[in-house]
Amino acid sequence: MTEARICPHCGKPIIHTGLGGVCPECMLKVGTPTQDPVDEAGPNGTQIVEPAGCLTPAQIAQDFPQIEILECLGRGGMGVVYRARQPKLNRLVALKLLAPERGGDPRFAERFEREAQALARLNHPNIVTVYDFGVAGAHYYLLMEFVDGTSLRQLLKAGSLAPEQALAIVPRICEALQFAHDKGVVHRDIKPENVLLDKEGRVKIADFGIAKIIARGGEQRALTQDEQVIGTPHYMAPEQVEHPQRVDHRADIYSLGVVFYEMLTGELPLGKFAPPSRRVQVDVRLDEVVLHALEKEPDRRYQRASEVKTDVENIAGSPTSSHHAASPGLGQDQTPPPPPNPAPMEKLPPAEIQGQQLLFRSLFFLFFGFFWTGIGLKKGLPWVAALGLVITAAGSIGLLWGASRMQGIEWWRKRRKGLPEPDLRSPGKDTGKSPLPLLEGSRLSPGYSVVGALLLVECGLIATGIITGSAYCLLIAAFSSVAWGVVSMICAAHFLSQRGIRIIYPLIGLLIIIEYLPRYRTITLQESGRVGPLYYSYILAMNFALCSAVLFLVLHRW
Amino acid sequence: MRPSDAWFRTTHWSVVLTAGRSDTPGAQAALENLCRIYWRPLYAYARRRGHSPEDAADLTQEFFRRLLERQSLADVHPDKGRFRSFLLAAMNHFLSDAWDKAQAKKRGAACVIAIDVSELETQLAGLAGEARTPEQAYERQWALALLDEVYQRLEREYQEHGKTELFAALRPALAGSREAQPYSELAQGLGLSEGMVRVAVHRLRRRYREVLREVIADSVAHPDEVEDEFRYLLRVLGRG
Repeated sequence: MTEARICPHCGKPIIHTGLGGVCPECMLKVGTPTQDPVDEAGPNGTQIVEPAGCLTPAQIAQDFPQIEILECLGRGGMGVVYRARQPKLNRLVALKLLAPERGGDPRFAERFEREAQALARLNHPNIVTVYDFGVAGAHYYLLMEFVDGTSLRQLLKAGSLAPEQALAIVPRICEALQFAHDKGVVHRDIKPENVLLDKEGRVKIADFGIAKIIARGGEQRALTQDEQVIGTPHYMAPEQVEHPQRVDHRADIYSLGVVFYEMLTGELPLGKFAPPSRRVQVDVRLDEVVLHALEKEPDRRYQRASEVKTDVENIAGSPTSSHHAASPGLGQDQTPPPPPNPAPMEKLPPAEIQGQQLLFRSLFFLFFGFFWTGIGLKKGLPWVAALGLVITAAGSIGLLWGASRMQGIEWWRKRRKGLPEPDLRSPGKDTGKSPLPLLEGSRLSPGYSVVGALLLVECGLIATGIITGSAYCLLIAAFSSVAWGVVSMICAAHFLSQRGIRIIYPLIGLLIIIEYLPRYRTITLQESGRVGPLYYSYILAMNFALCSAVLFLVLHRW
Repeated sequence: MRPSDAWFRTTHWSVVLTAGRSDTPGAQAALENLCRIYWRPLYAYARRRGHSPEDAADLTQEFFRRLLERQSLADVHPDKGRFRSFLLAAMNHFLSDAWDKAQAKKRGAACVIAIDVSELETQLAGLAGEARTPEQAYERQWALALLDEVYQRLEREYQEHGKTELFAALRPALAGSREAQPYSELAQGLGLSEGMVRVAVHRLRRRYREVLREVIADSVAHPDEVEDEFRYLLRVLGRG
């Protein structure tokens, strides 16, 4: 009773006799929430599944006679991974053993089979292929493509991932996610550990949907005390923590946002985090993308992974990308670190160059078209005028397309070097969410299709009016042209005010003058009988091209 | 997150307050349970105030008797804060106010709860060399009493699930870091795989943390105070 025992951990004598002989001080310390954070309780009380022990290859070899198990590659939250070889096919494979403690659970077996079948259908260059699955001995296993390379986590740990590399990797992740989402598979555990890069620099997403297999209970059961929220807390979308049953593909988009943020800044977006461009030297436009992906409400987030891809590629493809110093603290003398990994990244699309070429060609078309329209009108040759007008229309469409390809406004800004970067740093309600959902998105969004269709109708009306001399067509065109002018001005004003540019009012004034003065002049001339309806149409068409140009540029940058 | 979810459970405070007002059948049992958990800190406090073991035991019994009869509950108006502070204030009040009457009364008032002081006396003797105020003795015993309660609840849970042996084997893991706890040895002893032991230890610790927070939450007025109280307990036990 009186002999003092010594605590093996802290070396102090244990005087207290309760607690089954456990040292009270040490026991209380184990109660610290942050104790052993790697595999213990996560933040917010969420739990990470503790990985199973890594059995040696020899221990599991008997269960897998058809393959040679070479080595244990490591443990993940979802199980143990081995490098193995299929002798007949002479190829390397990755063998993943899942949750050994769940061996006897029939519901687990059923879910495992259902999900594994779905995974086996995911055949995409950026997704680790599942070759086979099943039960062997006491193990549920997945036999997968072996990716010889590194994980994004290892690159991040090395601390030398350049923003350019991040911009090359993210679109590939998006493609993989979009592909899986289209097939109804949600990853549920996107994190740097699951993003692999092979030696050719190809991106491969691992562990698709495995979180769902592991997750206890499935959709039917409510969360009970021993229910485990599966996922990696820092990368989980808020709704994934709160309502694991209601998770959809947008949770992956959130996780992607976290990974993207981490790639750019090296840190996790915890609590009230600063936009990436405040922390490191990256393009401020990326802030918008990252923050939009990290919206807490799924409805406010990007709705499709492909949208993230489009936005990132647009930014990556524009000339201003990645060289705008957002933090003046990083002086000009500091050059960005060279890419650490000699593995070649996938080449970025030269959208900028294409856009530039398209733009200049279209300008030529535009002026050519105007010239012939003018000639046709002056000489009273309606067919020439109509042809000229069609060329004009094609030119203006090309111009706008080209401008959008190369981020027209940004290009314009670059030309006028005196102008400051637009301030996108007020995240929140105006990040990427358009008040007109139709106009949301970018290059190929429905907004563009609608505008394009309207443009064609308008061109058709004017052309018909000119060719047939129908006053009705011209009248309708005139009215719709007014509508164009109004819409484009509203858009321009909104766009500029969002970016805090102070020249709104003079600009609106200028637009009004450009839009209405010639029209007014034309009408007075027409009333006095000095010009005919054709001339009026000509003015109208020029007007209209100008308004559309403004509208298109605004739409693109919205 | 968890404490606020669990907050509608009965806390020590609500036990005491309902016991003071109503005759809910459960309230009495709950109050007795409180006495069983917390007699040690009060006894240690009385001892450090200079009472002999016999007196201290009597006083503790008397204090609880009054508590159970709800006599003292009407007198004490503590700030609604830690249950720990309330109990100490009540005890102080009782000792100063009731000592004379208690002296005058016949000793050996009916035992309210079973108190075995011998073990506690050994402990107190072991710590006798250190300068310790009555308050410090009380606080230390308080922390130990909480831990005992946590331990017993855990043990009961494992017993209910028929895992008594597992609990006994994994018990040392409650006090040690992972490095200090070779899972392989435990695994051999239990005839399980190392992975399974790791999972079992993880679950034990997780459940332990939950129960620990439940017990602490019972003793504070607001769920926000749980982590503060936990740090306080760490400090108290850290004093040695």
